[in-house]
Amino acid sequence: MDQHEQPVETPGLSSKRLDTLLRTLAAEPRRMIYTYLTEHDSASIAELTDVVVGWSSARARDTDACNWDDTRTSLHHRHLPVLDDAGVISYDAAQRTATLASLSPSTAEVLATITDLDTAETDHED
Amino acid sequence: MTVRTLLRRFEDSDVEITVYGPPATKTVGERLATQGIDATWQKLPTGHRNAFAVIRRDGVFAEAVPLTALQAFLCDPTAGIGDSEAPDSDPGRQLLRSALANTLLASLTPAQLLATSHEFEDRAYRVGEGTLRVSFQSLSIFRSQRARYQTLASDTELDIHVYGRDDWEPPAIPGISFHPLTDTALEQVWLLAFDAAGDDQNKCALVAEETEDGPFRGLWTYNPRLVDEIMTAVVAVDE
Repeated sequence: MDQHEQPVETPGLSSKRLDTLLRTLAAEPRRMIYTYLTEHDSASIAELTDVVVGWSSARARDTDACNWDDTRTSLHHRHLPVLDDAGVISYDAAQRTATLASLSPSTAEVLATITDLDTAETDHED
Repeated sequence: MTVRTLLRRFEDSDVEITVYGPPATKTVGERLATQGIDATWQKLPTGHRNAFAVIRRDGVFAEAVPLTALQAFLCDPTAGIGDSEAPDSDPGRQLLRSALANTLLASLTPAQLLATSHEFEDRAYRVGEGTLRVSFQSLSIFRSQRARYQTLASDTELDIHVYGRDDWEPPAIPGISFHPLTDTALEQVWLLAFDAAGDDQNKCALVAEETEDGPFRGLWTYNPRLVDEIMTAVVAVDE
């Protein structure tokens, strides 16, 4: 049997914690931020806004997919605090800097599965 | 105004480009650096199709462009040009043109200049009226562009002026005036300027100067005042 077809083992994750993680990555900008921070560990809000705006317009094939200032505002007031509350990142609102939190292996596995599916679905298909 | 003084104005402009994509896209950042652009690469598992670049001017976000368009311009600028399809119908390519406008590029190849020229000629064709002034260093270089310009002249009301060193006797083509230059001012220069019959939305110009090492340094612009200035300067060369 292909090992990818086996159910994901997530020992130590309560269903409440799983709900929180799924809600946290339910929004595309938060998946983009998480993916970027897994590569770079820490980033300024300006850098994260560049990533979300650029990646969104590349995926949408739309030159005006999103406005930079509006995106930055939604990152600062909504997406980064949601990721912070879930313990996925720590967001220093004063310094406008986000840093990946130290995650348990089971949490990291769930988040990686979601972001892998996301990039596979939206970025690799023709 | 000479081309050199015009280009000098853009030497200190602060343009930064960050390329985001998988490891294979790292070379795009390196190619941008050879154009004198402050470029960096940041790893991101976007897949190749969705890799992108962010352009910042004076530290402020200016544009995000698909990397495929940037790669095409840097590596294979004439791909798709010369086909019957209008080359500027590609939105990614159009976005790249506007994103890199007013940016001094240090190492432009003749193919990149030709691709840009063709897009501007197509714009002139679409507008169908106004004055188009071009200089390809010497008149003999115009020979390879002759069929294209004959179509431009015969299908439109464009007033076309071709400048260049006097090394070839061009044929008479209705709608095209040739200006053999004895002056050296435009000898090292590749230039194209279109006034769109006064319509500021459609004015465009390309100005590049051949460097001692071989490639050209130059820029293109859609800034109507700058286009007017370039038009005036070209006219003055012939007076």
